[in-house]
Amino acid sequence: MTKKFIGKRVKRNEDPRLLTGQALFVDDVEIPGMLHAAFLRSDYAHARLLSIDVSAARQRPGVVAVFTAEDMGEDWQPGPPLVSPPPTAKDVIFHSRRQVPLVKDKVRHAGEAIAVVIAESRYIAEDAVEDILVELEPLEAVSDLEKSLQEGSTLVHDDLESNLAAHLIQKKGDYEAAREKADLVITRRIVTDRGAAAAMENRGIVAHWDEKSQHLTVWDTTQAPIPIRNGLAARLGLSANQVRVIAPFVGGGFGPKMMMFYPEEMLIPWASMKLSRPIKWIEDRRENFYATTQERGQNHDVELALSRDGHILGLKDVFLHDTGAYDPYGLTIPLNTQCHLMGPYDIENFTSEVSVVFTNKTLVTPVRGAGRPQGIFIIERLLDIAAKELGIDQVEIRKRNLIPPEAFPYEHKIIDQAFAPLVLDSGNYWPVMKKALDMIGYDQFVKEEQPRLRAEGKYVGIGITPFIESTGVGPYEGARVTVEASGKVFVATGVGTQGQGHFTTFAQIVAEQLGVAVSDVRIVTGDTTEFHWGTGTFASRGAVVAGNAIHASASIVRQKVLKLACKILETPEEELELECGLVRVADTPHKSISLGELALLANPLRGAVEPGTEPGLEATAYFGPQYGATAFGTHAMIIEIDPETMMIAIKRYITVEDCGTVLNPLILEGQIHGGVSMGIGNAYYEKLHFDENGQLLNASFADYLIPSATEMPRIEVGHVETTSPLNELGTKGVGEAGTIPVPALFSQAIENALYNRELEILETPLSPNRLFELLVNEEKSR
Amino acid sequence: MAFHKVNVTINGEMEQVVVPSNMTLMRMLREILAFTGTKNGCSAGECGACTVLLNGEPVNSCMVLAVECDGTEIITVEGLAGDKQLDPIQEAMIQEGGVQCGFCTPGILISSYALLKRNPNPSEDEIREALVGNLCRCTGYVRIIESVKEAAKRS
Amino acid sequence: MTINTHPTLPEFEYVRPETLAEASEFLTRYPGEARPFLGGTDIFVRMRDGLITPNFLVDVKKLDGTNDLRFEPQAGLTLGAAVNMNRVIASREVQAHYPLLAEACRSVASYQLRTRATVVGNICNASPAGDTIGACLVFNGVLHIHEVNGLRQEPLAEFFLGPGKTTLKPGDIVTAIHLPLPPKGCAGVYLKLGRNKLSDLSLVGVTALGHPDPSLPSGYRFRLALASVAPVPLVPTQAETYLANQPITPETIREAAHLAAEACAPIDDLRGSARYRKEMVRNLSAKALSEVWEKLK
Repeated sequence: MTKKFIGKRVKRNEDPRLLTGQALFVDDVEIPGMLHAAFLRSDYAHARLLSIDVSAARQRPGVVAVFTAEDMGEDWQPGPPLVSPPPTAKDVIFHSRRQVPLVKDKVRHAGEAIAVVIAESRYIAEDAVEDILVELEPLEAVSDLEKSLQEGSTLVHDDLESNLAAHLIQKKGDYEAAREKADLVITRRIVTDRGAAAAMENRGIVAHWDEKSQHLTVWDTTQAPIPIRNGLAARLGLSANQVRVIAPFVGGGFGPKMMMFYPEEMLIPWASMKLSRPIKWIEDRRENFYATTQERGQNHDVELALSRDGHILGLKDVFLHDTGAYDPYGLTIPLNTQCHLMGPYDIENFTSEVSVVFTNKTLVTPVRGAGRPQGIFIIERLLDIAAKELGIDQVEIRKRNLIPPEAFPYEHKIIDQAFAPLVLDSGNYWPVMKKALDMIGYDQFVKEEQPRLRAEGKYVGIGITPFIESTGVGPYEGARVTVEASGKVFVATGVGTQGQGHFTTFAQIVAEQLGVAVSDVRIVTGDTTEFHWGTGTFASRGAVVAGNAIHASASIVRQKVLKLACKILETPEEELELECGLVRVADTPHKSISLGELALLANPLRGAVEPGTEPGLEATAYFGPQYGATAFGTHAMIIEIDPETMMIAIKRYITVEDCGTVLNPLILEGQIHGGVSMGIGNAYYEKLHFDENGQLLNASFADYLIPSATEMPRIEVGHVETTSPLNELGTKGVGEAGTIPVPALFSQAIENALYNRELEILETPLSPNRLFELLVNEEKSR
Repeated sequence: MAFHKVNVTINGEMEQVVVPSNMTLMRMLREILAFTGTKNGCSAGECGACTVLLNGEPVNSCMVLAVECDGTEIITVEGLAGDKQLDPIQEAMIQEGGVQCGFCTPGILISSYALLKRNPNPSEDEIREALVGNLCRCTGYVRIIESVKEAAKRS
Repeated sequence: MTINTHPTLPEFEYVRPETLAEASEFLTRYPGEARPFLGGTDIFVRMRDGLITPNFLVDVKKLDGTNDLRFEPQAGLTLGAAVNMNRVIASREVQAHYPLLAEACRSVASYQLRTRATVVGNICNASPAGDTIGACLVFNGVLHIHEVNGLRQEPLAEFFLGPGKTTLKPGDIVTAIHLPLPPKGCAGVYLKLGRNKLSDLSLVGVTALGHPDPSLPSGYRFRLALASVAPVPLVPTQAETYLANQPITPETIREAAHLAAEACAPIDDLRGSARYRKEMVRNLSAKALSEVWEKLK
């Protein structure tokens, strides 16, 4: 059946509000009598809290309350465990240590909150923070991953024997046997480092406890309003129905807003109940760098065993993963890394051992990519090295190892964040890669253009990087679809939205079923009053999991519409069609009834209905996939390096994505553009610099550079559609895809550009300065 | 701390407000006058989400004191559209898909609007340069740049 | 020990004197407490980060002459302290006679920040990274300073004492920078290297100006100024002297660039290593001098 709405370049329903300043973000919430909060935070990464005196702060005019850990009494509790280790994995060590609302005994990372001031204005609250007298005894900080596990290292958590937070080995086949047979074994140490998600909107929360109605309303910049509601109710001793959490328009999520129960997220509602006043807290940019979660620090010791003809026989990777001061998010990131270490390649023998370590640094939870970029970086770097050593073309070595189309569904066997051994649901990888090669003109560039430009003294390089992305994981999402008497359709779902265009793609899914205009479908996401069940927007799953739940609900509504219309129009259902907001008889279109009229008839005011009849044209349905859908893509890039400064100009950038059924190319491409932008930042501009004392040295946009309009190239996007068999829409996720292969791609293209140097890039992120240093080292070692 | 009386014209309407010395234009707009379309992303003049027009020129409103604005004219994102008609840059952003989360959008609109006023036919490089002070984490700027080009064609 | 930031802005009094005399008098009365205030692009950031806590900001933007951008064919350019960088960039007279200054201004931050940022503010911050300082140095800029006892003029070359440190005393207000007429037949270039293409602070900035000078053995005088590679904006005089005395060739340009690199003492910081900075001074000085030489030939 050809689709009328799905797959179309439909303009976004949400844009007019966002373009005229009429969209509500958390910081825009204004309530009479609202108080404002500011936090006292440690500048030390590791310190013992000796004493704290808040009396002066409490006396400052306009200060309503100051709370320390002591003041919280029994209510002082570490955050709930968010993700436990997979019950399916064997011999897992996992020490759960969760973030605390306020420091009680010792500070474990710079920026950790020690006290909160609540005052009549933010200005007063900030001034009062300075009135607090706090005595901290600095302790040696654990900053380096390697050193954290050395004997005698300072402990982040004194009750543990070491800084080991978790340990897990995953295997398939027999790596050691494969290694015996190998013609070439490549052994390397590869390191990835931290960056920030840096959403343009900082975190924020407004909590309003209404004593009279005994009801708590919370506006939160969260990706997961329903779990926040559930958790708040549990912690505050309320029924879930007494708590309403609203994630209104959220200014970018990228993972850290999925972290549940940031200290402030619990404290502000708690304080609102204590004081019976609405309270607002808006994070500032510096706090965002210190206190909002980050990602990407890993050290890998890795081996790749190959045959002479470039076939991968096995991969072994022993790595350290930095989880920061606490580990509420369990093993999610390292599991993703493990699942992406083999990339899109058919590798029979695999061993991966991860040790998760505590450090005195900001907490690590998923940031767009979530462990996947590291896995792809490792395997792609190793393949580039192997290609050079074996004298095989970089594309050819990849082509030889891609999982063949007939192997799907492919038993990947490594347990991923969905807690089950990963199965790659569908795929046809080579045509995607081929399309990218064609789009960038690979052969022509390598054979003609590059030699010519090199002869002119230019350093131009090409990179081509395929990758997979596990997406659309469960457990489930749900939605309620209602045809209203106006003929418009109302949809409520539990996921939050942070710019993904849900108000449009979800509307398209509904329009496809009900034959209404996309602009006549009103979507509410992220308001717990509107929908009770759900988990959140993460792991590139919104369109897949919530999208299919909406599809399922809309399909049921469609059946209800047809059933009722069939009676009224006295025409068999098969002869009816839903078009332009009407149900009409296909070959006599004037014989019709509007959806609005049907909705009225479905909700009679008097008379009797047939037994078992549900009122209205409404349905609620849920969707939970058996396992996640795995997308595939390839990025290709041509760069030119200025050999004097090591600045890089991107001449062409191609992405080809296969994320199954495309819902809206306008939105899909936007997701990819943004992902690539973050990837480019990850690869060449962004790095959080922590010194050996755990001090963050670049906590501002002046010092931590994210790509600006002059860094971003044009991006040419190609699509291939291999539908997923796991859901009716056939979709796979794409939210993180753009980010995943970029650091690997940069390294490949840089090495290719600097063809006359023996450069081997074994780290990410880079920068012009760092590339310069690597080349100086290379020169010395010659 | 002293308070100051400030007369400003905002989106064509005269306003009189009383502000403390340390209140920025951004906070005056958001907190006193409820023009919350102007966003606070960094309070350091780096991200551009709070960009407004001050006497026709874009400024980071977090880097201007409210008291300095006495006798000035200010245009915020709320003032770009006419009664029923969006500005061409707003129309173009819808058509080209220049908006994602929308948090940087008000600042992007103001910077783009100002660019098109001073240079009705900017080159791609000129567009990129004009937007360098407006950070966006969602779009990679690709479609924002297309939107500005499209708006130039329309106006 | 703790992070003391004021994302709003800490308390202070805003003071707007009617005259320069009044302003100077106020600033003298509250030394260390009161600061002259122009665009605020630097001061607000430092106040929010808790690095400075002035009790008074004395707005000098509307005082006598501070808003004037004046070019006199016999005397040169006088840029009032409150003239923002976008005005400098847009000025036909600056474009015609001091394009180097416009180029340097254009490299600063973003358009909307330049609506507030001023050249005099850039100078008074005395950051070694100041992008517009080099152009003012190679044009032999002179500061007009209002002090309690009247006016004085001070060559920019003698103004900087260290990072953030200048010869200014409490009560001093820089009202303008004066650039004498540019040398006949001059050509200039500003090469800025940041960590990204635009908008970053300079990791290295190289300002080069050259013009014919028959009194010199080489027949040309070259001026150089380097940003971000020493505690103060640096003029590598050895390189300048060398080029005054040698025929201008690719080899002597390279040697001059080498001398420039040797003259600087950059530091390692998170934005760039000393080694990289020094090497970039060498590369960019050579490039800047070559580009200027191309224009002069």
